[in-house]
Amino acid sequence: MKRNSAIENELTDLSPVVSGISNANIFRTPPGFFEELPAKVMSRLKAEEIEAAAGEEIGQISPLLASLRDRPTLAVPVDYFNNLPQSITAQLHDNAAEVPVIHLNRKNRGLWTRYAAAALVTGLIATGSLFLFNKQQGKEMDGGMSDKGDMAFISAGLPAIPDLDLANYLSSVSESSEWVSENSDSEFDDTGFFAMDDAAIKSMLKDIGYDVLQNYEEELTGNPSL
Amino acid sequence: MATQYADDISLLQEFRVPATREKAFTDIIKKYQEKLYWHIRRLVIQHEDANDVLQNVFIKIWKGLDNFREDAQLYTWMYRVATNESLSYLEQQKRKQSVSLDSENSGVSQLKAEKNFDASKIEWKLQLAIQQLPEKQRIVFNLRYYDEMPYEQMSRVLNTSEGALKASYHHAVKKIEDFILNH
Repeated sequence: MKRNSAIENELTDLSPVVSGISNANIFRTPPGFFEELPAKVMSRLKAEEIEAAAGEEIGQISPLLASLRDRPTLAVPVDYFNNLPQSITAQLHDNAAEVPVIHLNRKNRGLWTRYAAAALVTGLIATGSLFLFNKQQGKEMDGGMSDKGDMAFISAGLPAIPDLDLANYLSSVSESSEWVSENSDSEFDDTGFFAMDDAAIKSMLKDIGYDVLQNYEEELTGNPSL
Repeated sequence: MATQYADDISLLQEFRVPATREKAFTDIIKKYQEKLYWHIRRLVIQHEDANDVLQNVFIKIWKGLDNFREDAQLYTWMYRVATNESLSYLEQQKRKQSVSLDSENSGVSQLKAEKNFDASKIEWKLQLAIQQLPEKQRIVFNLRYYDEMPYEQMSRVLNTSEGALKASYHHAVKKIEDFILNH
């Protein structure tokens, strides 16, 4: 290839050795490369335009979401992505030096799977049975109380305890204010009772007969009510 | 006989009309593809890499052409895009090379992988010498030696003063001479 004379002279002045080397192109391209390139570029551009159109869809549906999409919210440390390949490679090298993994043979692995499945089924049956049993018992207890309206199920167990023992137990329990405060369920008190307002208490008491209340007062005070 | 294309100003005007936009851009590709290809190829060496980089360059040019100011030269701007894209590609290659712990200069190994590489031929020795240069000097040497680009134009492509470019070219030639005489 013939050189521009000014550039040729400049190069000769700088280095006759380099100037003496031909500047002919020694690289080659595949046949037809330059004939096909414009069509390839145009086809890539069309593909990119289709992709871009898909990206614009959100803009038509919701301009707010479209405006938020490219707004940076999360940040990464400086040079995070530049250093990521190196740090992953370093970790891979570290892991390679770790203790070798011993694989269980296929036979033992199958055995373990079967044991695990059996334990799972047993557990499900036991849990189900316990659940059903408790539910049944609960029904019986609830039914006893609500149907009979008394504490028969508790009373049924009491005859087995001698009266003297019960009396001793009750007399041994102190009912001082300290004992009450120590043993009371403060959460229950707060939520179950003190949280009630006057209207709620009135509403609860309206279904209780006057006679019942009078008897309750007599029991508490030991005096017949007026 | 070389195909004659319209001047850059006419091509840009056609590009701005939707009906002739694609045809104008196809003509721009045809007009500049070879110059840009060889500029890229001398930097990245392998054809497949040069092809990828060149296509990316044209995609970027398509996207940026609407905002291109007519007071700047299209040719200069396209060279700048091609240079930056090639440098980005070389940067990526360098990172990959540092991960793979390949000790040989990437450009040198790429040259040696070329089908018709022959180290005894002076033209290939020149290519090996060019690959020893720092990136900036390599670009300056290629633009001056192969593309015969005036310093004033090169200054706009590389955004560097003409004086600095002359000095860079001078150093590059001396290093190449030294390599050829001693290898």
